[in-house]
Amino acid sequence: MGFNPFLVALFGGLGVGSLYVVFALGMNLLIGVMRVINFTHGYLMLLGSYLTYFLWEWYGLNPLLSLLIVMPALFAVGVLFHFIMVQPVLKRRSFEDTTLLLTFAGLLIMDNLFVKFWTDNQRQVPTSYFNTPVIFSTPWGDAVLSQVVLIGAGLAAAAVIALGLFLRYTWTGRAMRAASQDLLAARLLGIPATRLYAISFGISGLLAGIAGVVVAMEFLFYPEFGFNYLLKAFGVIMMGGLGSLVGTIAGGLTLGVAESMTAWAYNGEYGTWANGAAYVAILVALAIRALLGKSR
Amino acid sequence: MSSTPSALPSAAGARREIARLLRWNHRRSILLGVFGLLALLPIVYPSPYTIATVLFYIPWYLAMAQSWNISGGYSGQLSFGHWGLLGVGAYTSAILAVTYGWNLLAAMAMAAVVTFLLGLLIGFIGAALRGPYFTIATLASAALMQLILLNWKSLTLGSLGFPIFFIIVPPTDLYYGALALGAVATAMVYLISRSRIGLAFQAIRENEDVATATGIYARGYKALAFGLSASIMGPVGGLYAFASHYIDPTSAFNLLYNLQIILMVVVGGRGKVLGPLVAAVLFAWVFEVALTSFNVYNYLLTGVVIFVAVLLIPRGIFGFRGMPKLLQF
Repeated sequence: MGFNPFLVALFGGLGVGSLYVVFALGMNLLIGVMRVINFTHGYLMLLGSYLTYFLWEWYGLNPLLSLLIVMPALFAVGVLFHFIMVQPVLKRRSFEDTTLLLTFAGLLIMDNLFVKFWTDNQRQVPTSYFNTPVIFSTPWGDAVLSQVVLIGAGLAAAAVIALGLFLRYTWTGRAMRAASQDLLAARLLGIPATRLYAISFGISGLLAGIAGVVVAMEFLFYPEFGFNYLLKAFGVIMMGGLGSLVGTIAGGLTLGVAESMTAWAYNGEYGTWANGAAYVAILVALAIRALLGKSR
Repeated sequence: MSSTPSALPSAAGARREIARLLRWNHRRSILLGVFGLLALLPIVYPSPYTIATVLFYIPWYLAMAQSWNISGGYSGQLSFGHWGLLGVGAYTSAILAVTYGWNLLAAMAMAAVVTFLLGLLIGFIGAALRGPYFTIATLASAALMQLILLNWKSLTLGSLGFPIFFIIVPPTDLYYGALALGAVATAMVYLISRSRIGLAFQAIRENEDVATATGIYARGYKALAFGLSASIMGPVGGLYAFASHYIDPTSAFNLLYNLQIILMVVVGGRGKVLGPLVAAVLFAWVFEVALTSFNVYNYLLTGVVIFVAVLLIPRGIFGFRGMPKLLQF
């Protein structure tokens, strides 16, 4: 039986969607725990991608093995960002607005440094699994995915499960959930806010790093990529709910499928209308939120 | 000033309010002085090339910065969507002037109406969203505006760009047009800062729940604030279109402008009149003279300055303790 274009679009969408999940999860974690919208998140992801790329180019390191270096490195960068951008303004009354401006300024600075040092060139870590198709046969026709997308989806699933277990069974994870519910009560119970925030930012960076490794294998990436992904993550978070793990998973997969369906409906012109799916998702989710009268 | 606070001002109250707003004071003299100096610039540097490439951008940025100041400074709605309004204003003016042969001023006035209504809509729908969530909504709506104009090929010619070659405006006219717009925007900000409407905006910015509890219709005021702010961006876009003779969805929709005006307002002091004015003149000069447009360092500088200003001078350049009271408005 031949390919079923609907199924191809669906599977492709789920594959991209799993990447959106990991990426948006890191952002949503920060929103949940400390009400910080981190605009630099897309560039943290790209930092992971570039690290993967250069480890491959200089030392020939397998991108999957480079996870072992990228994850701790991005954790450290996340902690550093906390002490640069969040800690100094923690006591300001307009904390949310201030961190918004600071992280956006951070985005501008990172974007420029990336362009300056690593140019606008499109890069990719070529892998043997990139060109290996995997065919799924279903009663309605066949669907095809590149093997690398499956690996990416597997990594994403592992990361999500690990995060879920971490939030549920470790002291730090439980402290994070407590802080996201009621910061004052959590602090009264002896949870050190600064350390918790720093660790949250680190974990957020680590998740961005995982997404970065996947991006380096699956796509041609370049500095502007970070900004595009940021908008997509907003779409995911707005659909899924702020600070919600399950919501982020549902939102990410939905956005991935919505984009690939839009691209399919418009004859594969991926760039023109498919990116609009994210904006429409953001605005529709926000409009619903506004109509229901929920301010958060 | 009226002593009894009420949601709806009475006729007598309104008359008192208008009389108060018309009274002259030193603040107005300072503002008038700044604009008087700016009006002299083309006489000091009469070269049409200098006026078109450098001087024009000073009042142009000034108008944009004051526009952002209304929503971002007074009512507390940090907008990352003004670049979308600029693009819509540019396309509205250009299409009306070229395709339909309108008078340029009428085309820009219509652009103001269009962006005002768009702003009203965004402000009204987005009023339920607070802080960063409103910001994200503005960012997404601007990106969507760009996408729609990019794909509406019968009207905008899409990514080919929209030529305005046959409309040639003398640089001096462009300069004084932008200066007039900047003056209108500054007057708007000044009047807002001195009026009940402005008090309502600031009350909403400081604490929306308390403001609502005192009888302020927050949703209406937020829509109004964003609409007023947006209305300036229409003619700003029109001036951009007529100054550059050619627009396309990438050049007319440029997030950089939005970031630069945020920088100007943050450095000048959010919710102030004079600070953003001076900062806008200063940074317009930096962006257009010290760095040429679209230099890669333009973004870098913008980022670094916003970062430092937010951390170190949250009250703006005239907000320091030692500064004369006269300049802190």
